[in-house]
Amino acid sequence: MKKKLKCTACLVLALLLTAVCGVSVLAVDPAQSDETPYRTYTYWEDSAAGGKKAVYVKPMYELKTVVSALDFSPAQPPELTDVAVGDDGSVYLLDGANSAVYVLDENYQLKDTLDSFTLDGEEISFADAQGIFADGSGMLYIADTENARVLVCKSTGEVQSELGLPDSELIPTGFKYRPTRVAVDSTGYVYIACDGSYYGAILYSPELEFLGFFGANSVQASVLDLLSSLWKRLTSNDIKRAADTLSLPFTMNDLYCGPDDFIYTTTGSSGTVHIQTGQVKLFNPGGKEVLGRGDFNFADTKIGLYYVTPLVQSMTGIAVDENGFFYVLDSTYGRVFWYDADCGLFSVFGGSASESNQNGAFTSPSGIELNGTDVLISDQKRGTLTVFSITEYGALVRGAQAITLQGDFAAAKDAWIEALAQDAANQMAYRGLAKACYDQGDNAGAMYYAKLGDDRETYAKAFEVRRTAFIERNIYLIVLAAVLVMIALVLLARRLRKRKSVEPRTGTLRAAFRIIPHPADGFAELCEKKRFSLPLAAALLVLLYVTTVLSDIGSGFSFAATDMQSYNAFYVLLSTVGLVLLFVFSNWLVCLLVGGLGNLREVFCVTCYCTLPLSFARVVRLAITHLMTPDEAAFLQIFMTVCTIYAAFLLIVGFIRLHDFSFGKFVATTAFTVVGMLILIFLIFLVLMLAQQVLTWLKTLYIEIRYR
Amino acid sequence: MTEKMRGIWKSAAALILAALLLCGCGQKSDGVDTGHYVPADSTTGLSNGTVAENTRFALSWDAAFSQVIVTDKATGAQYSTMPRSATGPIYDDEGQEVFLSSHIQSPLIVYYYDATTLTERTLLSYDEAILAGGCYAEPIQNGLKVTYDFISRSISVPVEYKLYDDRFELSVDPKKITDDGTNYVTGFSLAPFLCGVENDAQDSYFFLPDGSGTLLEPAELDVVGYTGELPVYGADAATAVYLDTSYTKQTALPVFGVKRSDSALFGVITSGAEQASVCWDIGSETKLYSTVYPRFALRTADLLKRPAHFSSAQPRIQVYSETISPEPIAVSYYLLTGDDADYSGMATAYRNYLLETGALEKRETADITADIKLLGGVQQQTITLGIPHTVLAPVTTAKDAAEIAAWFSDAGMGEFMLRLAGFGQSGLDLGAVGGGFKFAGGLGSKKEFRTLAQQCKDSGILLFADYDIVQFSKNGGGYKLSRDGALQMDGQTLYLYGFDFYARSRTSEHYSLLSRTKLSKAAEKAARAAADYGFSGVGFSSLSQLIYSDSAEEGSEAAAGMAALVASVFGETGKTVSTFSENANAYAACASDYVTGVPLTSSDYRFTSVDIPFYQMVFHGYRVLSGAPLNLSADPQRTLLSCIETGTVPAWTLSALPEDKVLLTDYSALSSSRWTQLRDGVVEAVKLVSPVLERVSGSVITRHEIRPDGLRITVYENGVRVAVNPTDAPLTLDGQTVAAGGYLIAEG
Repeated sequence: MKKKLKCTACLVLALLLTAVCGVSVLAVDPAQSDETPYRTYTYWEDSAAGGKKAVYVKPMYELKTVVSALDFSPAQPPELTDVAVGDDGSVYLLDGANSAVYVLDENYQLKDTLDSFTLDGEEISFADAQGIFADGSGMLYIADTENARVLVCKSTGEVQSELGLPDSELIPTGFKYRPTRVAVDSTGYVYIACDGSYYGAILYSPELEFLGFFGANSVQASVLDLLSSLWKRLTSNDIKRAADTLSLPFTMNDLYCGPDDFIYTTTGSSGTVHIQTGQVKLFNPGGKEVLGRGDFNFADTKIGLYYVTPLVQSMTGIAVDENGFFYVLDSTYGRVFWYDADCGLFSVFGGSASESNQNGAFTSPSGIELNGTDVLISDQKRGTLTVFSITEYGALVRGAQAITLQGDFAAAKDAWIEALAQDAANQMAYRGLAKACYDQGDNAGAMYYAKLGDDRETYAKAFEVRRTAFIERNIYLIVLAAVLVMIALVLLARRLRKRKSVEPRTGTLRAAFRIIPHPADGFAELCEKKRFSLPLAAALLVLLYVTTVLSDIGSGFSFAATDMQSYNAFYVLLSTVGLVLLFVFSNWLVCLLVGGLGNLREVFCVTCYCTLPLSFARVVRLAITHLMTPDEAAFLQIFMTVCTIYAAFLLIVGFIRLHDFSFGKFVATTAFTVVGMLILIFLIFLVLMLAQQVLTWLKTLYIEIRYR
Repeated sequence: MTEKMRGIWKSAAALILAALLLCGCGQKSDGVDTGHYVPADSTTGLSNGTVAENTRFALSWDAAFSQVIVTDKATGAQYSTMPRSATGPIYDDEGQEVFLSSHIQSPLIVYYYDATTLTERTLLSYDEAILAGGCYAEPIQNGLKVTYDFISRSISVPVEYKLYDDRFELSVDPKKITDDGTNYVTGFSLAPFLCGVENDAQDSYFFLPDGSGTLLEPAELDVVGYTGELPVYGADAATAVYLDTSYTKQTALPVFGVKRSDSALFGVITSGAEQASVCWDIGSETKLYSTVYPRFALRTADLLKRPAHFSSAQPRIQVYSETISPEPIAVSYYLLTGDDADYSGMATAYRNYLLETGALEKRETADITADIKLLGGVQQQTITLGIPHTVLAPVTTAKDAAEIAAWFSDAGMGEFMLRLAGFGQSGLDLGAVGGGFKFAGGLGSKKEFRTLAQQCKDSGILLFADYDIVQFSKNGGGYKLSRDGALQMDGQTLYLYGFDFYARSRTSEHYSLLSRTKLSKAAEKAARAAADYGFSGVGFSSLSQLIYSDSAEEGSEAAAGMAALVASVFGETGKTVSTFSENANAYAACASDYVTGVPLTSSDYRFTSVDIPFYQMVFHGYRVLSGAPLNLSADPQRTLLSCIETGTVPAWTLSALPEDKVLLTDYSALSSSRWTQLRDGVVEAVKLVSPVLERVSGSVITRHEIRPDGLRITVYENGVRVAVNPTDAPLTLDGQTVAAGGYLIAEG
């Protein structure tokens, strides 16, 4: 028996260690495509499990060409700070270093060089111009950053207007005007992003009159920030307040006018080593943010390192197509994130800021623009324009998703099937197919694809329809079965009552279960008659662990909220059995000091008995998740909370009875119990760390001896 | 003190002494210790004039500039360690004399480790040796020996220039390099401007062996210019840096070259190629010349994290092995003229070199129509009763493989190659060496694999198993991770880590590389295992493309000697079963029967003008070549066209992954490999390519041309011409139209 136990323990330990060690590295290079210098990937999203997993996918964009401004013979090494595309397909490259604009035709061949600009007959030049925009009428808007103006000029270089810092009361004192990006909507409203402006973009009317600020970012504050602010208000004086730092919103670093004149903006790195969220915002023409994804991270999920320096993502550019699909440029990593209008990620392509010498990678990507489906990226230091074209596969997925988002799910079905044939790691395709099947009434198919694509919403909808159909088909059988079950239960109860067989000889089981309906009497009986059963208590504790695990991993798909990739029952063991044992030991120690009557065995039994409502709640939850949809089971959380409160109530009653405490004394001892638990945890960690250090020392010693 | 006590003390002292001696003297002397600086013989001196000559070349010494000049007697074409046009004054557009960079006048650049700054530094031979009076030349048989004595740093490097019938050679014997042991030599660049041409030169280009091959044109850029380097055969795998965010192609061939209007100079690194990099330096306004040249590392280098409290501003410290590899360094230069003065001539020259040295010879191999790689299984984390553990998720079983083979055979694919990858104990993930040299039980029984082998034999299908005998992360197959891994410079087992591409950082999972001394035995085991299953042969994908240093093997500094070792492993294995190599370096391609995964493109470095199929031009006709998997390509049509262009067999990576299973692994190929979805396309593509393969099978590529309109024409020795049109518009060849995205076979 002992040997068997040992073997089992070893097996469990080995499995746990395996889990900790993780999956090994790949034997072969996982590069998807032979042609691209980067790897195309996407993130599989599982909102219920709360995770994103990076997955390599078939390239949706590939390098088309690289245009070097060096070929245009500039006087100084070129610095392409931005790129714009006109309605006629002309591409405008802004060379901030040479005060020039290179005009390319639709084949990216040089058509014209604008290096002479005149304002009122006088020749002018840019100073570190950062942004360019070409409107439908052939006018160019150039953000002449260091000269603090936006030039509105014809494609001949003749400047029509100059938008300097407006003379308005709305402009705060000390405002430094450094325009960096310009966008103009279809009605002629001009939006100017300024470096260091916390107030949003500057908005001009079509008549070029200053209207005010547009679309400012807001400061995100946590509860702690609010409490801290409140504390400072109460305790600070004027001098302290003056010396205090003010939290200001981050400035937008790019803006783009999308379909229906909605304005998309990006916010760059916050300067801290943190994963940011809400880097992309969408404002309606009224200036209201309508995307509502302030908690969504549009960039990669991990911060990488360059040797020891953290490389924080910085979304510095955005371009939007006619479907509202947007492309966001991460200038730190030189990657382009391609999203649909619902913020579903198609793929990530491009790469290698600063390091690579390859085409398709960047040194300092500065601007992003679209020319049809071509994605254009300007590189400031290299002085190049990199053009990516959509692949056949990318076009297929793009088309299918555009139809899907229009609600014509069935029309996209064939395209999604084709997409999956080419790449089975396309989550969008599974989700699209699930919706298409649901739309066509194929609920089994919808559930199948929804499960593969982690689409819980569509799964729940299809499940609901299928379940309703099943009930309608089998209503008589279901009613009959229900009646039979009820009769069987009644008969069973009668028989049991007659035989009184539910109570074993000791009566411990009956006594234990009596605490549920009659907590006070039940615990009184338990304590007075000493009917505690250690095996039963242990069994209930194991039951709690088992039901928790089952609830986590066995719930219906619509309810599953566990990331199975990282799930480990060992942690559940710690949070259930471990926590109970810790509580029991700590409580026993504390109560021993203050004259509690219960001994360790009794404390353990009372605690374990009180977990019964929790186990019951988990079993009920498990069953319901397979029968209902999340919408229908809204009460489930309330039920779980009630059971938890009831378990706590049982614990209070149980300990008051066991130790013969007043309620006040119970509260005090419980507080000390919690403190005791913390101390115990601290001691356990201390011992573990010490053991780890000793092991490390022994290992080092072994290596040194072996090395000799 | 009693006699007894004295005896005990004596014994203890003797023991301690013995232990100390063992500690101190146990260090193995693997390579050459350079730390004994010997100044060059300053009595040697040479005046201007021809030093050596043969029927083809004349080798002369220019005492004024301390440069070596090689002249082609027939054409008068000259190549010098310093461009000849730079010997006179050079004026800019405004008539001002241009100060010439010392780089151009330096026939040798030496890199040394500066012990004070803990960094690698550069010594230009012009500044530090020639101007300092430390350059001595003396005639030797058929050539000239020039010793560059960097007196200020106490470093001396002798370089020999020798003439042969069809080439001239530059060589350095590392045993003759000396330094003072403090500033020690870590490497050198040989004749950096021998291939130099003016930045504004017309009708000139450099050939780089990047991927399939690429051309780089000289240009006028800026003050700094554009530099880069390609580690020949890949970087030393033992010294990973975990910083990549883009991916480059393998530099599989130890060659480089320059075309200079009507002549070309083609360099072949004939010895020490594992230690070499091919460097380029173009467009610098201060250097005025663009060039391509070889650079050699002499020591194993590694980048270590700076120890705590170590006085250095660097977060990482470069360290080097104490000794250098004794392997001679030699570069042969072929002077090509007339019609041969282009990359076609270079490919012919390299092929001839391989044939002459016996490295390459014709082999009796089957003419295959397709190369199909089947993926076995992947490690997946799963949960049983809430307990996570890793299992091998089957992707393609032996039965699936048999079904796939039968289907393609029935579809009339003829003779094709079926390769099993990831069928070992750990699947596609790293595990034991060679996957434990047995197939995973979950993928099929031994009987099933034998049945598959028999079925393939009956159908004329070549069945191969791919074994990774280099990288391993677990004990098994008779090898232990801690015992059999390659050793680092400090004598400890080498551990490498996975790389998280998204986060640009290394992962926690580690693995090692099998000690180089144990590769032969591991290959033998793999061959035996494959033969036992009845397979046609084996392949060593990782072995054919990885080079690494291993302190357990003498003289392996900077991965030296790896090429010979791998060639011998393939050679020995090939005596019992057929072999294939994947994305193979030159030595592995020469030593194996089939070469799969040959590069079809280059890494697309900046300023490169066009990709050329140099790799195929060298090996086609001598080896059966298959390309990159079409189903994983961003543009399968273009990839297929590349195969047609060079008679390369098309390839696919397939699996029997069930449709109701989504495996989100790091192995992306899985999701694009379902054979049921791809099989019709495979048959269709094979039918398209087969006519070309049949016509050009076994025939050497004699010329390759890229017309200005984009038409790419390959000429075979049997007179067949294949023209492919990768453009969007139809083109014509000899009056015949080549459709956009199509091809044409022509005779004569």
